[in-house]
Amino acid sequence: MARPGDLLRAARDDAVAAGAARPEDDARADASQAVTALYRSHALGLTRLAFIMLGDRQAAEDVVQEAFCGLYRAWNRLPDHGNVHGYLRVSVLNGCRPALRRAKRIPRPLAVPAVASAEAEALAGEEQRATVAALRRLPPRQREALVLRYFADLPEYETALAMGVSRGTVKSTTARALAALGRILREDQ
Amino acid sequence: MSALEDRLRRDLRAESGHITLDSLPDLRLPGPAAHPAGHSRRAAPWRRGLRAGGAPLRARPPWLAWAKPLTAAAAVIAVIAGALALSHVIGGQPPVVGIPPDYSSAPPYYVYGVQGDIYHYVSHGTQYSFGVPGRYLKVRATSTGKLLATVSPPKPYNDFSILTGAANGRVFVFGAMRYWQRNAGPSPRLAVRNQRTPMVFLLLRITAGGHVQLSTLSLPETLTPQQWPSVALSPDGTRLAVAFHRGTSAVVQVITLGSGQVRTWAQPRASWHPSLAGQGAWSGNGRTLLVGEEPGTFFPPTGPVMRHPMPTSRVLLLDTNAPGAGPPTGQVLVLHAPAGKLAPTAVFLAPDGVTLIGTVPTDQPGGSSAGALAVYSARTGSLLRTLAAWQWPGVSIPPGRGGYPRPQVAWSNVTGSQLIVLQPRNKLNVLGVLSNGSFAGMGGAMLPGSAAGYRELQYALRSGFQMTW
Repeated sequence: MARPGDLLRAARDDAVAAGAARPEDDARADASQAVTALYRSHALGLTRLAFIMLGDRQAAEDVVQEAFCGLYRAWNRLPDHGNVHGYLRVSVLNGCRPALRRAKRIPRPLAVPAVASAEAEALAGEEQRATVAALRRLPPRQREALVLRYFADLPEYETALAMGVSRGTVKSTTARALAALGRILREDQ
Repeated sequence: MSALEDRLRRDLRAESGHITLDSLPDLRLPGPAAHPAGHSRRAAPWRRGLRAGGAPLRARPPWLAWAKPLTAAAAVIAVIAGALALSHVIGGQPPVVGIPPDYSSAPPYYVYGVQGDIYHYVSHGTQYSFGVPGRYLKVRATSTGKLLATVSPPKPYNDFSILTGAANGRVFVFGAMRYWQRNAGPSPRLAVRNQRTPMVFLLLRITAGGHVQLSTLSLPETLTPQQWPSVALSPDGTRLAVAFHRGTSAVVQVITLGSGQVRTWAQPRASWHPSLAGQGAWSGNGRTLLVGEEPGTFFPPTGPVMRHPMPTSRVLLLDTNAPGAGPPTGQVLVLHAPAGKLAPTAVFLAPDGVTLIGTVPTDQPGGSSAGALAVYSARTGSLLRTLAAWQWPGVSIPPGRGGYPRPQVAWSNVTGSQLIVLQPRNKLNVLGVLSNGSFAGMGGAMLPGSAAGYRELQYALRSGFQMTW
């Protein structure tokens, strides 16, 4: 359900929108232009990141769109526009978390088809499928650590920033995740 | 760098490699309501422990407790205001002015199916894919369009072919089936509907706090797709009606979800197939069940349902308080087609039980089609009026746009004077409000906030896959 605050604010802005142009309109246009340019340059990597985390392309696109909409809303309040990519990455990861929590409750198939033809299987690569399947069996934080370290190629300190934890936690989480991943892959062979 | 780390890096990149820049949707920024220069009660995301992104950029106000009634009223305003916003987006008609009085009872959440591929196949360098209309489902809030949950069928099921929602908008039932591929000689291979694998049913509840609870629903009888089952939740979401064929019998069951109590009516050697039109199958008091008697036969038992255009439709008004035994009994109505049209389909019972509303199509030369909604008396079955005429010129599937005309009543107020309908307009199925004979495309606030979500919903409407409240 809509919150009263949402609806009241929408009504106020609609009323203003009917009047004359305001100085804020210029700011909005600037923000729109800047965020659209950022979208063109960063959307691909962020969508891939979200897809690896979620295993669902539509959901990944939704999360990335939400992240850019959030950036647009917050544009004039950002203290530093130099690190918007980091901000977006955090936004995407935060957007993935509720989706992953839902996925824990709701049965979700792998991104790959359950039954594939021999040719399709060969094409997809058994090994790749096994790796991705194993990754998705890890707890969300371990999965996050591996994706940031080995897919996004972030150094430890940036991974720590993105996850909101210390560097030591990143190290230990990554180590545990790699061990668990190796164990799952061995068991599935 | 260990071999495992190398493998991880390589495989993850390969996994996401099919996402290319040109396949991404355009960015769809929010409108003025979310303008960054506007005042916000919430701290910036990075000041809240980096909890940015997916969460909405507003704090839960402390006065929410007393403001709930206000929320309900404001939600009504938002949805109607949405009609203004969307009508030009999807080619609807001029919007309704003012707030229709009965719209406040529209359910708070809606569900629609999302198309998706279930397998890809490469033959001689050409990639083929096979998609199904209900690869997964999305649950959104009616007033805001906010995505509440995405539901996928449990493996190995891969297509939701049945969905129904209670009038309270908080209980939904989904039925999933599976497709599988088979060798059909020369390529491309086909994915075919598996008619004999038992379907699986899921029950989704949305709590007052907006939390989603999903559980498996066991029905008293195992159902397969070849039995053509249809389901309808009672308005309060406590009972589920199921209609299907068992051998040569037409069967209707009403299951009390809490206790598992079942009432069953069966018509042996039926020459008709029972069907339920989702939310429109129940009267508002949850007593009368509208069962469509679709002409056709299941003889021999393994044969398909044979349908053919008829000048009339038959519906049965079943009293669900009657003992569950023997053939379904109740008032049978014969609904005649208006002049120049075919018999009504997908007949919807208004909650007060006074009128029936069906869609009456007609085929025209050259692949064009046209139709209208027809309103009948639920007491006598006589035609009262037709409304909301539509036309779909040219071929049914315009190149590049997909879809076919799919007029349908999705929701009705108590008296049937105000409806949410799918209405073919400008070669699109437009979701809108029909009130006092005038149609206005709706959406705006209820639409998904992202371009991807918007596209999905449009596809669901175009392709005619059910959307339910």
